Amino acid sequence: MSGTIRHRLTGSAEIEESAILTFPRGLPGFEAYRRWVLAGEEDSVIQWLLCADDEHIALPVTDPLLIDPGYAPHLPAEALEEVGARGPEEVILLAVLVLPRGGRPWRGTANLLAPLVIHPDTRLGRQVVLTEDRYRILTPLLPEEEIARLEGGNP
Amino acid sequence: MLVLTRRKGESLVIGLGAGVEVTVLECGQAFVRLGIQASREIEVWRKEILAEVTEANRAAASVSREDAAALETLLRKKG
Repeated sequence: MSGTIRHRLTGSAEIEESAILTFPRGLPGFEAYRRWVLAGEEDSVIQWLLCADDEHIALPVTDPLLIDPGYAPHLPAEALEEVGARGPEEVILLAVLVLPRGGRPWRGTANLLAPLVIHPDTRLGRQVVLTEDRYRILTPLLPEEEIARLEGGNP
Repeated sequence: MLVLTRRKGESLVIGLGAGVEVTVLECGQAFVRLGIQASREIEVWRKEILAEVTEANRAAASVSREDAAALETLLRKKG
């Protein structure tokens, strides 16, 4: 296998093999794909989880704290252990974003119930489902009043 | 589908050796509480949650760069 990977989203720029994150279980919906890469500008709010084995698959992700500043989920010990973390402070959490097709991105949602848990050193990841009732799969990105303002009062 | 009757406190085992053990902990009128013992490589999901996460991940994979860029602008203003 060559040392670099191409992906539709990165255009002709190639991805280093060393940047690969391994999700040993794949992701729900993409169970067969275990190798992923995080891409995006350093200062971007939205980054992309690119599938290293299918250049057509990419999931937008963001820092869940941006959507919910109080986001502090309890991560199961076995999930932390699986990515090689000794504690929750060692891992990075990312929320998968869903946006409506063809416009009105403010109607998008972030999955705060099942964050991606990634260890930056072991480069292992897993999408973990929390057992906490207070987090949702389809968490609105913006407060309702802001959505109403953006839509000019015409929902 | 295999159908079994179990009482509170009774279990069933799926597979031999390091199989999955499911125990009925509590029965209500409209629910049962189950205890599940399985090796850690076996993930246990509530079926409807797995379906929703699967659907959300698939929907995320069809988000366009343009829509994401528009959202990026919005979120930056927010931040």
